[in-house]
Amino acid sequence: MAATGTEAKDLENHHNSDCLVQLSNPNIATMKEDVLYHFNLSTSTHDFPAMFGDVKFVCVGGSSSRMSAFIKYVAAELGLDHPGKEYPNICAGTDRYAMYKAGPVLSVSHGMGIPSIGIMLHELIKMLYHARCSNITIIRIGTSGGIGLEPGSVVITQQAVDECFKPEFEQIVLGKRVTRNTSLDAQLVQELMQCSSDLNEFPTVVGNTMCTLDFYEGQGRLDGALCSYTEKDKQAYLRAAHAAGVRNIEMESSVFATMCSACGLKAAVVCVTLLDRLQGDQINTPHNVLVEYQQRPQRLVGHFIKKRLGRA
Amino acid sequence: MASILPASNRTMRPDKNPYERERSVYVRNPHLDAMDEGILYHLDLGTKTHNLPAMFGDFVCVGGSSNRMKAFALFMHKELGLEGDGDDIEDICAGTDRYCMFKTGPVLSLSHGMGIPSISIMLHELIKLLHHARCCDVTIIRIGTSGGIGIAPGSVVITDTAVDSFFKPRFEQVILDNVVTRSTELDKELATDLFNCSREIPNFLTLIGHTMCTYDFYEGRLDGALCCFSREKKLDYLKRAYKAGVRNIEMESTVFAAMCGLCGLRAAVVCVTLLDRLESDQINLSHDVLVEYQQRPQLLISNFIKKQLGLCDQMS
Repeated sequence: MAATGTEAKDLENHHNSDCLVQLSNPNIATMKEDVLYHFNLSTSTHDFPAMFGDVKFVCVGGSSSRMSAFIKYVAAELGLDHPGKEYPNICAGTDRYAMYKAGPVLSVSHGMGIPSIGIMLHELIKMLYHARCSNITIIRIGTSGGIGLEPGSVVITQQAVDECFKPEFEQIVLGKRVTRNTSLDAQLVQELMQCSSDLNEFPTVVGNTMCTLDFYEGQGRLDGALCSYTEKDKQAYLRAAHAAGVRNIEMESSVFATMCSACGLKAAVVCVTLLDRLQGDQINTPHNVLVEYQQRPQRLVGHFIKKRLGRA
Repeated sequence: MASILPASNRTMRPDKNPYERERSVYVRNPHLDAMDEGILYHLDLGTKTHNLPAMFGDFVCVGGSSNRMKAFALFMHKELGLEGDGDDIEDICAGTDRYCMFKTGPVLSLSHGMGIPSISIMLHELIKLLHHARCCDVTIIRIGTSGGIGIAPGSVVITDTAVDSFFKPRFEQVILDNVVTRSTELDKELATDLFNCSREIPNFLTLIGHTMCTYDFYEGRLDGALCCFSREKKLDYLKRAYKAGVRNIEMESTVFAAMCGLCGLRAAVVCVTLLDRLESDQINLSHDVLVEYQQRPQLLISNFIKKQLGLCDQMS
């Protein structure tokens, strides 16, 4: 029995060290100071381990007001809230991103598009590394266009795919094209799907998510300032995407998947669809319905975190 | 001889050339006019909910940071000698936190976030807005920060051509599942006019050059979370960029140049450099110096707009 106890403890230690946030950059450890410019944080002016060492869950989303609402929601769900409690923006010195923290949960905004979330992820991952965080789960929550789904459906992404439906992300590094894989953590996907079944509040599917660099032409919309194709062309493209397993379209998932897996972070993408792109291009839903839809990923992820912490 | 105008007068343009056709802002989308309503989703505006022609005018300035664009709008309010202290300048897009928009007389100021996708969403909706408002002769200028190559920090670069990571003057757009290539030349006359304006400002180092636009801020730097190359390879790349005419690096200029060119907007990019990438990767300026550098593009644009409006005697 004593031997078994020791074995379990060793296993736990091994597990912890395995899941320390790591960088794929040998230069950082040799730097005297690391300035996270777009967060307005620096290793020489902030005590990262003290500020962030206990973080276990990171949730990211485009809109700063939505991520502020999320941290308040999850704080209440975890019983960390009390009357008058405020969650200040840790990155208040800049308007590039916003960051909020409640207990083990960190909520960060990332703006729109691959470059904007890419910058945020570089700095976030370095921050978690400097803080010596371990066993991090990171989830992107957001909105998307659906394909063949009722508006308000939640999609848990199994693979992020590009505009040609391939599960890869191409980055230009020093003038050379580098292609990286964009699969998300399969176990985490299943766990989130189970949480949604438990909640039984809104339709949820697992599928591929197409990540585009452009909202209008890149997603086959007819209502941009530029458009050189027809409704028929657009429908053909969207149906081909659906046949390839794509269930929603957004603008950040591919770089999110690839950067998180490169740095040892278990990652998921949970987006609600605001419309069915097979039926139209513009979001015409009443405001109050939109607000309810936008809260669905928060409710799912909030439940997931509660469940995780309840077992701990 | 009397009929020949001095060269310096040409840049003032107090009188519009009567033979020059007015340049309308046009969308390149046959579907738009057939639509009953145009919702500009990320700007929280629409053709049914707002009287767009009554709202908008001649100069548009765009930049990444919402705080900076609000500061620019306040600055222009003062520089144009408009009534009041500007405290009542309100964000026209207050209903969303995606972008912000301020109007001070003929000047519209908007934020666009960071990167090609974020500015392109804003540009689609801005161009539709200017089209719905029936604006003509619009000049649009992106003001921002950048990394310099082989030039002093604090230098202002007026872009003649935006280039991609391969130093090519093009923007590749994926449309459905095809790649379409667009030109990224900016308005030459406008760049020259801006450069001429800059020469009148003391202690203001300015040059015209190429600007490289990338999709990633970090991979090309040594201080990102991911980095699989050496310092030597990075320097070799930057030196090749310099040799190809690149003087600064930022993250929006190619799509900005391509979209504005296609839609009849006279466009310019004016960015200050915060560091020389041949020397370092991290921005380590003191706060005061950083603020002063960031204001340099605004100062140039203010002088340019005042000249265009014939307000030369009010220049400080």
